[in-house]
This record gives sequence, C-alpha cells and structure tokens, in this order.
Amino acid sequence: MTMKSSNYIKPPRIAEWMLKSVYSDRGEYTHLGDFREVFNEICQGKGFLFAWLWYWFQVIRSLRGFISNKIYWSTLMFKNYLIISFRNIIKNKWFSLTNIIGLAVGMACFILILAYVQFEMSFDRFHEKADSIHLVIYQDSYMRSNVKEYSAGTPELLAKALKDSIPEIVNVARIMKPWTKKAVLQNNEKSFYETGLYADRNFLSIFSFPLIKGDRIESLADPNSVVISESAAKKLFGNEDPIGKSIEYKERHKQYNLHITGILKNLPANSHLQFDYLISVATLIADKSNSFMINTWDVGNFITYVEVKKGSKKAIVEDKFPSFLKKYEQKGYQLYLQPIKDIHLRSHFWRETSTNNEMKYIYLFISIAFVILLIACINYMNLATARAATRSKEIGIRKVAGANRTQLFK
Amino acid sequence: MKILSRSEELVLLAIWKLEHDAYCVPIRNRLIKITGKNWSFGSIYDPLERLEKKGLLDSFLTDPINERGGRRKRIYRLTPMGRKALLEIKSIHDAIWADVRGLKPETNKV
Repeated sequence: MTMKSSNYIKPPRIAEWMLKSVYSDRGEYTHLGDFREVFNEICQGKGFLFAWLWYWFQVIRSLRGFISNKIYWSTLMFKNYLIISFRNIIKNKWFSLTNIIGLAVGMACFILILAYVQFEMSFDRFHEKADSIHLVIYQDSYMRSNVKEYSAGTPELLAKALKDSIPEIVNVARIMKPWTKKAVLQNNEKSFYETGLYADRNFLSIFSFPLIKGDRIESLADPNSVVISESAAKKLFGNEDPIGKSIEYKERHKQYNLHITGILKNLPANSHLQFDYLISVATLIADKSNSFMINTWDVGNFITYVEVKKGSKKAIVEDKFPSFLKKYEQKGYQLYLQPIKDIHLRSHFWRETSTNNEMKYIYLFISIAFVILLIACINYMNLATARAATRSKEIGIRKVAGANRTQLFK
Repeated sequence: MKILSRSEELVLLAIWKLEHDAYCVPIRNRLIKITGKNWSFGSIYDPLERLEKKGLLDSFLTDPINERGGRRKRIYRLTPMGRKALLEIKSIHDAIWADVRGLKPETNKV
C-alpha cells in the first residue's frame, strides 16, 4: 500500500486501541476497519467533533459489556477453582496437611525471624538526633600485655572539657550507673526494686525519651531531683499525681531523699539505655562521699554522650582528640566516638550500659531465615509436582473447558 | 433446522441484495435505511457470527485497505444452506400472513 493515508482522518488512538482489545475478531481486526470507515463518513457529513464523540460513545458502550463479561467469567472460574482445591484437600487429607503445614511453618519462621532482625536493627533509631549522638569511648593500653581495651567509663571532667574546647560538640551529657544493679524506691510503706541511672541535666535534651510531665532540662537540674517512669509512678503512687512528692532512695551504701520532678513515658524496648528512674547528677556531686570521683581526671565512673553539630563528621571530631588530651595533660589513653545507632550491634567493651547483640548473629539469623524459606518452598514444589501427575485429568478437562495457559497454573 | 430470528433474516436478506460488496458497513447502512432505526455495530456482528457458525454464510478477507487504516474487509456470501433458510422463512411468512384480514396500516394508527 503506497497510497498516503493522511487524506483520511484518524479516530482517537486510545479509543481505537480500546476497541481493538474488545473486538478481537479472530486477530484480523476487520471490525476496526469498519469503525474507521464509518468514522470518516460521519466526519465528512457532520464534522470531526461529532465523529469523535460518536467513536468514543461506541467504545464506552462496548466496554461495558466487555468488562461485565470478563468479571462474570473470571468469578465463575475462580469459584470453580476454589471448589476443586477444597475437594482436593479433602480427598488427600494427610498429603495436603503435610504440604500446607510445611509451607505455613516455613513461612511463619521466616516472618518471625525477620521481625526479630528488624527489631534488633531498629535499636536507638527513635531519637530525633539519633544521627548526631555519640558515645565517648576510652581506650587504654595495658602495659603488661600490650592489649588494647575499650571502655565506656570516662572521668567526670571530660564532658565539660569536651564541650569547652571542641566547637563541633554542641551538647554533652553524663550518666552513671548506680553502685548496685537494683535500688529501692520507697514511698511510705510501698517500696520496689527498680533499675535506673544518674543523668545529667542535658540528658533529656539530647535523647528524646518522651516525657509525660516535667521540663526536659529543669527536671534534672537540681540536686535530689528524680524523674521516674510511668510504670514506677503507678506502682508507687497509684493514680495520684506524683509530681513534687518525695521518695526514699536506697542503694547499698547510699540513701537519698528525692523529689519527683518529672514522669517519663515507658521506654521502648529497642533502646540500649533501659531505666525506670533518672536521678540528677547534681545529687551525686552534692554528696560528699562521692568526692573521690568528682572534679578529677583519674576516676572514670561516668559514661559520656556528646551531641555533634549536625552535618559534621565523626572523624573530624575524633581528629581533634589528641590535641585536646594534650591540652588537659592526659596521657596513656585515647578517646573515640561511637554513634549510638551502632551501640547495640557493633560494640563490645567494658562498662556498657546494656548487654548487646552482635552483627554477625544478625547476619546468621537472616541467612537461616532464607534457608528455611527456600527449603519450605522446595518441599512444597516437590510435593506439588509429585501430585501433578494424578491431576493431569483435571487439567485436561480444564483445557477443554477453555481455560487459558495462565489460569491452568492456579 | 431452527427457524431464523428476525435480525438474522434481515441481515441475510441484506447480504443477498448487496451481492458482491456485502461487508459490515453497507449491511448496516442498508438496514438503517430500510428499518428507519439505528443499528449498532454489535447488533450486526452478532447475527453475522451466528449465521457463519450455523453455515448459512461464508466469508473471505479482501486485501488491506488504506482508508480503513490498513484493515481488511470481511465480505460475506450466502451459502446454499443460507439460501434455503431464506426461502423457508419466506414460505413461513407467506403461510402466516395468508389468511390474516382486516390488519391495515390505517387501522393501526387509530
């Protein structure tokens, strides 16, 4: 056909395409030609717009029947498949049972393991400043064995000195673990064992643990102030408002009378810091019996967190540590930073605040999950193909009934 | 054999009259002209397909035609069986109408 087709006005392309799928017409699409011919006829008679409208109207009219037809037949076939698969399950009870249970257990394991892995990976991600909070690590070289040991224990003076001399560090907070693992919180007759921390006044402004009552900064500013968790407050005071009330606090050798200045929402499980109360560090400093570790570089009982200025790299701050230590005449150890996101999975040193997991176990779990899923799938496939031979008659009937290739797999 | 339906009969007759150029468009035009009503494409394709399946029609394709967007025409012809069916329905009509009296267009209009 060498003649140019531009003499003839073409109907809208989309509409033509839709018509094409509605009228398959043995693959010849002579119907499309018919429509085009009439389209041109109307074009010459009543104008393009009218013809265009007419064409679209035809398409829409045909589509209605086409779609309802499709839906009708596919639901019919689907019903049939449901019935047949149900009958098959009933017919081969044990076979189906092993098959389905195998696949279900495999998938359940896979999902559970992945949920666990996801939980482990989510540690400490919920803090708003999670990217810029770092833990200061202290590295000492033992003279005897020349083994390098890492520790989170840092001296009391370190935090302030860091903030004063390194401009990239915008905020610091010290915490200290109590001398005993559990301490007693007492309100008159009620007393409970709880675990907790001593925390700096900046602690709650660096970490975004949600606070129900109290001020983020002022609640931990004064000596003898304490912030307790929601559940501890409930245990000690019931439904009363605990703000401003005082409680007795007892460790093995220490005893304080504390004022409640705030209430924390219960902590999420995916935090490396877990505590039911926070006592202000000012309490420690005010206690004369603690003077051996206050205002000194020699005793490293505190754990120091720093908030690095947004956008500045951890390595840049770390580069400044040697000159910083020289300035304060500290020798024999080095300091490093550890992002808090890495604490749970990628750290392993002394005086940590919680028992941690390790990345290699996470990888191990992931690979086990995939192996389980793979085995479950192979098992299912194996059993299904073994049965396919006996179901060949069914497939034959289905083909006769006019199912297409894709439907056969269902 | 089953008696033809009214639309099948009309389509068959139209094809018979059109002789060589009996494809969908002229068939439709002719039916619209004769009956004075609008025939959709669907109402032509359906009887055409049915009749072909029954063996009353057969069809062939022409060369691709440019005005039709490079599509062919499917041209229909009556088979001997189709002709027989038309004659049969005509005799049925004649028989039915033979002794009907008093049915005139004027009386209908009142």
